[in-house]
Amino acid sequence: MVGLALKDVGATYGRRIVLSDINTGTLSGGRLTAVIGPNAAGKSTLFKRIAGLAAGPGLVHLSDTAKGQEAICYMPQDTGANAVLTVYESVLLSAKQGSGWKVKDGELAEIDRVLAALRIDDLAFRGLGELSGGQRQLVSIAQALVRKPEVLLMDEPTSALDLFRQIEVLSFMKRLAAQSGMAVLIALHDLNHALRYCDDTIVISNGSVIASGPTHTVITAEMLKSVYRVEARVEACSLGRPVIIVDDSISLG
Amino acid sequence: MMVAISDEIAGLEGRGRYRALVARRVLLLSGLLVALFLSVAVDMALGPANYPLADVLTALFWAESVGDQLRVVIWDIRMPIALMAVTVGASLSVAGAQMQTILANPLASPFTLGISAAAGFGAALGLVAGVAVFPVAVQYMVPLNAFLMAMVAALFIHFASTMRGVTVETIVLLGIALVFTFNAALSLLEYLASEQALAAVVFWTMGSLTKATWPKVWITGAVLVFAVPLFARHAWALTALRLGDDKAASFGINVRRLRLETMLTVSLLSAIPVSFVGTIGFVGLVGPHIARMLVGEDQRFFLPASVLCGALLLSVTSVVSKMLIPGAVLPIGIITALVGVPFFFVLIFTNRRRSW
Repeated sequence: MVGLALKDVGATYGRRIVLSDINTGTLSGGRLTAVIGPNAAGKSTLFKRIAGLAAGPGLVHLSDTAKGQEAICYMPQDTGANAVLTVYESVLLSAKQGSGWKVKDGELAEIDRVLAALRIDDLAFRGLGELSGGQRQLVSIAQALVRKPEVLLMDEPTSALDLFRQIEVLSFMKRLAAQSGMAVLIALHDLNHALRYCDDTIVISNGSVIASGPTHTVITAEMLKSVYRVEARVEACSLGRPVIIVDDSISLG
Repeated sequence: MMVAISDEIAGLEGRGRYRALVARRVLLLSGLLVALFLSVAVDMALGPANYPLADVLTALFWAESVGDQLRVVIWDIRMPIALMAVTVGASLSVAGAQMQTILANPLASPFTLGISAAAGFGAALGLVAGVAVFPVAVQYMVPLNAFLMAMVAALFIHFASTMRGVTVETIVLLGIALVFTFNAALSLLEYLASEQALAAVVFWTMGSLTKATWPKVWITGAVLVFAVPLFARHAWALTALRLGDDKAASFGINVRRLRLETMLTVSLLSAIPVSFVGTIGFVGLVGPHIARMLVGEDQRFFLPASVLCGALLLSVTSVVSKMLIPGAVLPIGIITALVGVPFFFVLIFTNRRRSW
């Protein structure tokens, strides 16, 4: 199974240093890793740096893959709403990059399979401009999956989804990762989702890694206070699952 | 939580519908091609002496079986003009289509971004002042001037669009500023021009096909034949640009390089035709919009549709320019919008799909 490790990774926009000294152990295939942190912490930049879309020092090391950099797929937050394309065409577009004009039946079958798996096959021939933000986010996931990545970097894939769809997508990704051996990194703001679905968690703040490791060891009351400036507790619910309970008091200091 | 849907049922429906969509588009493109052929034939039938369409078709396909006069009129006089309308319309429309694609802006076209105005100024510089931007033989001075000035404008737009904090709205404003700047410079040259040079410049600004010759048709056609395969090679990548820069980059596309390459080719495509026939504004803006409404933005269909829509629009305009006042051929630049706007309105008001 594929493995991803970051060694002294940084990212710069021009002269501005956005990320520095990011180190991780090997993030293994088959697991979900949450990347969490406050707004503008550098989560999207980290994903772009890993995918080779942002410049910076350090080493992004991939192991056990023959595809090299092509094994990595970055999924931005949204897909263009202005394009005069159907959902089906936009997913085909992702699958066909770098190849010829002719579309084979097998390629269409793969699109059908992915759309059905995400339960958006009923949207297949709707225009992108007719979709809601949440529907477009699901299309974006389909565009990523059809490329059959071994490392998938999902930038806030659930931010525009309703609660049912959030749970549906995250449980689907967890199952898919386990079945396919894909390493999935997901930038999330909902930390309860991270606790519930993600095996590991990386916390980023001000362009640096604050903590990383198994999710239940990383998401703690101390981390919530120091990184998010929130007074909260992590407790077990009646089913025994850890949940974050935010107290009224918010530390602004 | 996830309910597996039968791959076979869902798959067959999606695949089948997609194949049907493709077939419909191919049919539509074929229809446009037939319409273009008919329009070119009618264009060649009309003139100071009108010929029946059957005679024109006979002269086209069995040239030796018609009289010398008809053959000379069709092949040597009218065909270069009719084909110039086709190549110029196609070039400007494709140039507009790719500008709208790479700048993500529905208002982008060689005319609205000042590239036509720059080409016009460059040509006028040669016609009025005899100044060659690049030293070269006199007969190539005007088109080369036009091309180089168009390149200056196109590259200015390109580099401005890559600067941080510059929005697409800013690009359009910069383009409008270029239009005004080059038009003002053109007016200054016109003010200082001799009578003969002024007439030549006025010919430019009105846009006319009447001075079309076979070499001009070949050059314009050659640029088109050079450019279209370049765009076709990047069909998937150019389509992906419409999903946004981040998304396109995530597909592995070098967005910056694609933009630069496309902009350079677009400069060539818009500068050469304009240097031969003058400023024709409407086709480059509206041709792509009509194409988009008909076949969407998958460049495998959008690209040929832009070629055909632009060619058809200018060819029909050429026909109308001969019919409005019997015996007179009005400059095509004047007629283009008058023909295109009503057709465009009909498409806008009858097309319920989102087209931008």
